[in-house]
Amino acid sequence: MTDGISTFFRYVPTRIVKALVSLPPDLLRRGNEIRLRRGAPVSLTAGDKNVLFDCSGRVCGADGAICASASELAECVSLVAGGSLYTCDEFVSHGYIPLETGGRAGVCGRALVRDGRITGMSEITSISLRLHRNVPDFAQPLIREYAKNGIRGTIVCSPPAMGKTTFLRSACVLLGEGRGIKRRRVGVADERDEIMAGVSQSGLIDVLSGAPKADAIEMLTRTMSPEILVCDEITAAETEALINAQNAGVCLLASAHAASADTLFRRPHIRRLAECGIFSVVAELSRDGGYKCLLREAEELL
Amino acid sequence: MSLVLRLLCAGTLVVCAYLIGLSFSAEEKKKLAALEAMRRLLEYMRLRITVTRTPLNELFRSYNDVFLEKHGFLQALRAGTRDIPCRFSEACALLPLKEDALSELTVLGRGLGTLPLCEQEKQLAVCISALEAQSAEMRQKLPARTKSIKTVSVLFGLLAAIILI
Repeated sequence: MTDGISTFFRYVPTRIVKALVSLPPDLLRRGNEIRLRRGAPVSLTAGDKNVLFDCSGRVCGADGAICASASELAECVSLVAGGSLYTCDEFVSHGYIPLETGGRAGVCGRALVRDGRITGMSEITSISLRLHRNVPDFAQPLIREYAKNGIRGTIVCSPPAMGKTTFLRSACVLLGEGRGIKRRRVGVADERDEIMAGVSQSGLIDVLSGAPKADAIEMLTRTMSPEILVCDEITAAETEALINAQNAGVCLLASAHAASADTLFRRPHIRRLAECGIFSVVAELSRDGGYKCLLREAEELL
Repeated sequence: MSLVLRLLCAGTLVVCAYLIGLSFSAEEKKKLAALEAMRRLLEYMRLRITVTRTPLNELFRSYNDVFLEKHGFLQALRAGTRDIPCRFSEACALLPLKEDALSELTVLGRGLGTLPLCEQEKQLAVCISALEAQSAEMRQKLPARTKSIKTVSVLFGLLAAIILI
């Protein structure tokens, strides 16, 4: 698991690294994302703040902020892709490039569409290097709930960048290593290599990475007989696979974007899953002065 | 100066001129060899990129070619921490390439490793066919060209001998 934002400096052009290292140490320590945009200011995200800075590392507004040139962005993409972007075509078509150091870089630009499907990007104009946090006890409230009332299907929700993946990572390790609960077999459908990438663990965790979630869920259910199946950011495409898995007796722990638990079930596929009895518990995350998790019964929200 | 000595000097001048001609024609052969070595490398790259999607750094490490090794091309490509387009253009500068071949390779080098698969493949194919056309033309013209270089140099030698002696 990464130690800090400085892990990404190897992927960032020298001029920008020089500015980054000149930033106040506290800001740098709290930083969890560096974002480069072609011809636009480079930003550092620390907590819920997006900070712009100049060449000498002074926090400033958009005027005078350090911008990434086209060649700097190309250099960053080349470094992220290990000097061979063509090896990442499949990933780029899903909007990211996996990093050597674990984790991924989100990419954005002009998409190439063939037969209504994104097949790649003809040019990349933004790149986001986001740190994967490891907060070992983040999912402890959920584990306590499981220990008390037994394992039940759970959906984790929050707006983007509030720690859904971090929560799932913590839950996987706690369940797999049996911390605060009996050891469980955990199957992880890690399509984008995010949940368990770089995590050193000694639990009963089987990870199927790189495969589409729907396929991974079916494969894991069939071949690894997990007691709990974990997957990130579920979409309508995985609904059937999740229902099948539930019918096979596997408990699901999944995440979804939502402004709040109250709005979560306005998403039709999530509502359908809840109505099928797949999710009994809703874990709502917030970053109110640290990583917080509020557990609610799905029945109350439906 | 005795006649024998004059003839000896004239002979030496002609031989020297011939040797210079030989070295010029060897340079021409080297240019062709460089072109063909680069074409072979690009063919290999195209194959490895399209079939196994091997990353460029790994591909350069595994590739062997006596000519490219001898001129330090592969060493320059493998060494250093700079990005691949920079290393590629620096390595190309080490080869005895003609201007038009060098400009084709420079264009290719700029996009090396920074393009999606289909575009990378297309760019490689364009460069390979350009190098093929150039090397076919050179190969065809080479015998006549080397012959004319040698002839001209011998004639220069003779002319110099007549004027000086």
